[in-house]
Amino acid sequence: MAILADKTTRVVCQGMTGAEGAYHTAQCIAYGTPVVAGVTPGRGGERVLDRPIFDTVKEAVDETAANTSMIFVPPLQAADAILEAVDSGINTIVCITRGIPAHDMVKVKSIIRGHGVNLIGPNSPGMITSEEFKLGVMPSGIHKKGTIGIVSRADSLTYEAVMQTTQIGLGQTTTVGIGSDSVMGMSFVDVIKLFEQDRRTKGIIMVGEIGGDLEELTAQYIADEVRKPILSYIAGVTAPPGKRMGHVGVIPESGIGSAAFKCAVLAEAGVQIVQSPTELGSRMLEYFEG
Amino acid sequence: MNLHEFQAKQLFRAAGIPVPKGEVVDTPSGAVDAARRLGGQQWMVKAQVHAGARTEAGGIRDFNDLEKLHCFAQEMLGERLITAENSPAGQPVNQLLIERPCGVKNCYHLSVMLDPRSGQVVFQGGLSECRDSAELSDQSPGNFFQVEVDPVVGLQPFQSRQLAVELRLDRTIWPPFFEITQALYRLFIAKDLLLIEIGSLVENDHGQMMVLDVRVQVDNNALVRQPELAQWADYRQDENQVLGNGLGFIAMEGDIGCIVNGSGLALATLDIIQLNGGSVANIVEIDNGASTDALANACQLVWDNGRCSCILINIVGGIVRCDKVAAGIIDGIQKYNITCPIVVRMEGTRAEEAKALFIQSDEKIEIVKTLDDAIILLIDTPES
Repeated sequence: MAILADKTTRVVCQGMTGAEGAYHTAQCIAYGTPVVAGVTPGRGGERVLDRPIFDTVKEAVDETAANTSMIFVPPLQAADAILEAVDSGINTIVCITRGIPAHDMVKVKSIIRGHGVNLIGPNSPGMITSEEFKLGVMPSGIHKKGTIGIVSRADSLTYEAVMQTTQIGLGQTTTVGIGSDSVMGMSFVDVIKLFEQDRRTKGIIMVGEIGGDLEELTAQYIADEVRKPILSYIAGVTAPPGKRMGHVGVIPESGIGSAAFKCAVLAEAGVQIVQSPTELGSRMLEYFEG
Repeated sequence: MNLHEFQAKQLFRAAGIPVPKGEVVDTPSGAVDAARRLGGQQWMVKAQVHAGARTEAGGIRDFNDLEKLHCFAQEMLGERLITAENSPAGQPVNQLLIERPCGVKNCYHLSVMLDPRSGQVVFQGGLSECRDSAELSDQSPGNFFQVEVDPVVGLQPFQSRQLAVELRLDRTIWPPFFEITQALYRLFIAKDLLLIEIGSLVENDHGQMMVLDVRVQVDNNALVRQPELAQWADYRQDENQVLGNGLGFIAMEGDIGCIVNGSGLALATLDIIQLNGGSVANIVEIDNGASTDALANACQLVWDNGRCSCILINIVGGIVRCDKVAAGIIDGIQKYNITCPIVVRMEGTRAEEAKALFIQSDEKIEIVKTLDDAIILLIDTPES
């Protein structure tokens, strides 16, 4: 296995009895993920997808030795679900839920600091180690076992990078969607650190987005610590400055947040930049062949 | 979501934070009546739009003559105010806030916001330029400093003291300042605010503290538990908003309409089209929450009564299921009688089922495998 999961991983799904939770958990099980239990308050004692359901995460951990959680709980209850998982000793949490109020998430962030918990998301498609282990909602079929680690904050665009590395034959080790909310758990740096240490990962693709300063903060770390080839596409290079672009907000003309600035600081840190997402696969291949 | 100044001041008043006496009006005669009720010889008239830099744009003026005030109100109401901070089209002025001015002795800047990285609530303060119009300007002088509050423990009294000392407040106004900072913190938490930006927190001639100008932003994700704030949404102010029914809309100037899932893929689609010499008319961004009706509506939004010459549907399904999207879009094409060429690229969750639906639908739709193929169909590249 690659990063964030190994042979000891046992998964509990919080919110498995909901339509979304049940559908995607079934897909994860079919992919080979060791899902051992579900948690839905008030539904303890039932069985769903042939797994026991518990009222609390603590019970699930005590009974099934779960150590990893995937969360499909509705937005207003999701922060509580994350804190319950942390309190019960879960060490890796993937939160798929979208639309969690920011105030709930800052509280979560403040509490989990120093707990050594890996929180992926919220508002994340999850993570997948190709052909081994899936904790998320990404389409399974596009992933192929290989050598590229992919980290992305641009939801469905993540799959684009996956499809291209699959089509061109490189394949992936692990793909992690860190989510597109402003208050997030693991950052680009946290995931890239794991890829840099992972023996199977030979190259890294980072999919960023205009707005915010996440890519800028990652550049310094890459310059100092990353020796593996790293390729990046920043979505929105052609977006007109000064215009509000959906969730991204208003695009600054220059400086932090603008595409030009992000690309420049990443390039300076040794990152190869592609202008169009259709070049991700072929440029990575050039890296290895050239 | 942004609040209007008058709405923010209403929240402040209820929270016990002093603001000037004022009334909000939507007609010129109402403006004069309000000024009469407020009394005095001088009045501030402030255009209500979701943007700063209103003074420089002529949206805030003071009057000592009711006839001139009436004229100004007549000019402003129903017009669009263009400031340095909004789009070239400006924003519509539908309300004016009429206030009594107050004499300013000292003026400060104070903001409350979230730091997403540290998970802390940040108070940021500084000395502000003293002006009669007293509105936030990006060029405010002075050094900024900040105090970080752990949301788990809340704002502590010593932190208010640190702020007071950094702002070099006269000790006589420490007590009202402490009350204001505590009230701001309570309001920030209770109302799920993302930003309180007080451009002018002033000490007036009578040694009282008062907020003259403020900008407030509410977390969209929290509107479900803040129903009274949700009612204050003014969608006429902000173009390209998330529409709240699983659709987001971005208006552009070109001729290719796009329906895409996810903001990252939306931006990538824009990049690919524009790097290949095409131009985008608009983008509708859909998410998992979009119902079949909302998806049909998405078709109408991109079609825009024929303003777009072709439509690209670019969906890479994960949590969004391609077949559900396809059903909604076929519905929309038929319902709104969309006649322009449509190119579909669908991959991921249930993509094959989706393609089957398109083929069965009898609508003239081109299904392509990759974005490069889509570009070839959408953009007439000049012969080289």
